Amino acid sequence: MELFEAILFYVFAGLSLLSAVVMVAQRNPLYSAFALLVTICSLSAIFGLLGSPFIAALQIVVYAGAIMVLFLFVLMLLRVGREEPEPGRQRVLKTVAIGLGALLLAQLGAVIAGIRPQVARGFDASTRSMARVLFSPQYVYVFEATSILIVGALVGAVVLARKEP
Amino acid sequence: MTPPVVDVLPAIPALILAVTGLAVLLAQAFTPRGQAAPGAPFSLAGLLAALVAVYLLAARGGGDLGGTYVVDAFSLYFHALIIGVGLVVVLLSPSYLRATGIDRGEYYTLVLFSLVGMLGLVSCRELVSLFVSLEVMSVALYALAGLHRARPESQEAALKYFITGAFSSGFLLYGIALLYGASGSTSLVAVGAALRTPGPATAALATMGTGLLLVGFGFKVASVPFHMWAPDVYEGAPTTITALMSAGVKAAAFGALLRVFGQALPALAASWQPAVAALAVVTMVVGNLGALAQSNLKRMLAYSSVAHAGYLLAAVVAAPGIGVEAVLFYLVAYAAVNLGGFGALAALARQGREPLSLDDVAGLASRRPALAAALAVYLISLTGVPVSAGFVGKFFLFRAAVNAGWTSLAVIGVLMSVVSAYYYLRVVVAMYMREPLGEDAWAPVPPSAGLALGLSAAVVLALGVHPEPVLTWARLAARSLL
Repeated sequence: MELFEAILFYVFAGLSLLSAVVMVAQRNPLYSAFALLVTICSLSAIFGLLGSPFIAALQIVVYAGAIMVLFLFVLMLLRVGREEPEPGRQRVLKTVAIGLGALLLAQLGAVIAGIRPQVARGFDASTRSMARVLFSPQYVYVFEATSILIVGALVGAVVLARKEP
Repeated sequence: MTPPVVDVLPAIPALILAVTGLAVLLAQAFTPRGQAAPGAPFSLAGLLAALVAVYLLAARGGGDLGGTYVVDAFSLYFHALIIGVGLVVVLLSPSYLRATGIDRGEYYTLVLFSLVGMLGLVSCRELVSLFVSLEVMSVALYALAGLHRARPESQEAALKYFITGAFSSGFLLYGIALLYGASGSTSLVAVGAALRTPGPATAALATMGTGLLLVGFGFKVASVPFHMWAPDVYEGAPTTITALMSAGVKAAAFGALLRVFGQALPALAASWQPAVAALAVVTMVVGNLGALAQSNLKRMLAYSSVAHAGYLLAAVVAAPGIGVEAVLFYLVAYAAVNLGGFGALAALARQGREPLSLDDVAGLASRRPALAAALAVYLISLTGVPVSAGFVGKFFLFRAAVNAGWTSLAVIGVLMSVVSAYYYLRVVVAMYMREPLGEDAWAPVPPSAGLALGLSAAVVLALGVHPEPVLTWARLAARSLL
């Protein structure tokens, strides 16, 4: 059983990494969006394997559902079906970016090589324990502040988007 | 299972503001089309009620909401400051909104919501709550910055503020995630305790997290090199909102910075102090030199706001000790001065135009003697001339830096203040020594705006002559952080 889970984990981990690379490398934004969808679904599967169905469901509902629809909506509205032409004069910037990226990678490698990984403590990631934390007195403030945040965002969007009276 | 009992009293000021914001929104919904709801009186009533609530909370000795939203002397100090800023902004707003044709009830709702976010930002002792508060404040301000929809500058301001703001939130969130990874908790106290005895891996993670947090806060307080958005946003946003940003957002962001770095990261002081000192130096230099080159008054004040973030950071270096009270005192002085400066420009707005160049304010002293005098007081205080709040404040800031062993910071600060005299006093000279150009195109100062400007000028002078009461309070607030 554990072997089976490990195989599944590596399959989904590989899939998510691969699709993430495809997403960045693709020049057609529509394909990038679909690659992102694959990444999100594999991540959701990994969360499920780790014993957290709630986070797995959230991942699908929020990211694959709401946010991807938003992305696709914008892409369709803007009619960005064509490939983006590669900007020619940004070659210098590109070189600098690659250099900085390599530096970051080397740094990360050094840090990760220096860390002796510990086996993660087992913890209860079930929906019930998530709810216990989310609805505990500790998070009353965040819960209420988030509702203000959403109302504020809605009001702001309406103010900026509606026709002049 | 019985639900746990939560004491909501500590959050009453924020609740009052949020409910007032919703009430204004409803009032607007029941107002005939094309008319504005009485947003200003509603908001004033709500803000005054919140101020009373803060006073009662102070008498009760504070408290906390679920251990995350804490009302101690530090939060109470900022509560009073932020609600005071809100009062002045709301007093300045009605005439400005009418003059520029953006009079809408939602304006007040969004202002009140952003104030709710600021209150949370200075009160949260937990990183997730801190982040949500920051977003509550920012989202309302993104929309407010773009309220002049017909003006391209305003659209540019909203877009720039939104993109850089979202970007900086990303940095902050990444920093929070790394700190959580290093300490296993998001509570500031627990993070502080965990970092006191770090392993090598934890130390590396925590240092990276601290750096990312510093970048995030650097964006919010507009310190160089994260200041690029500030001049464009301050220029394009409605002037009353610019006043709110420069006084309120800066105060709240510095409050959060002091709380996070003072309560969670004192163990890492040796690694973040040099970084903050470097930020302070470049911010003071670039801010002041940038302001020298500006001909637009709003842009000049924006660069001056960048420069002042540098002065404040110079005292944050001395944060665990006397630096905190110096920053707290200066934030009050600075808020009064900036509300006055931007408020004076807003008060003169007429038919969509407001004074933006030196020519626009030339000879203002002969046409609006009281307003010119008030504006002169603010500018003199920004320069840091004695008998103004700015002098006393800068004195404490630089003394804190010197006492902490960062004399070079104080020297650069004083030198840069001398440079700043040129661009501040140039405006005073234009108002008093030059003849007015052309017709008097500006509005007579409306009574509510006059009250707000008089109030801030009085605060500036009172703090300059008799700083003791506020200073004692700041000391008390700083002590509650330890």
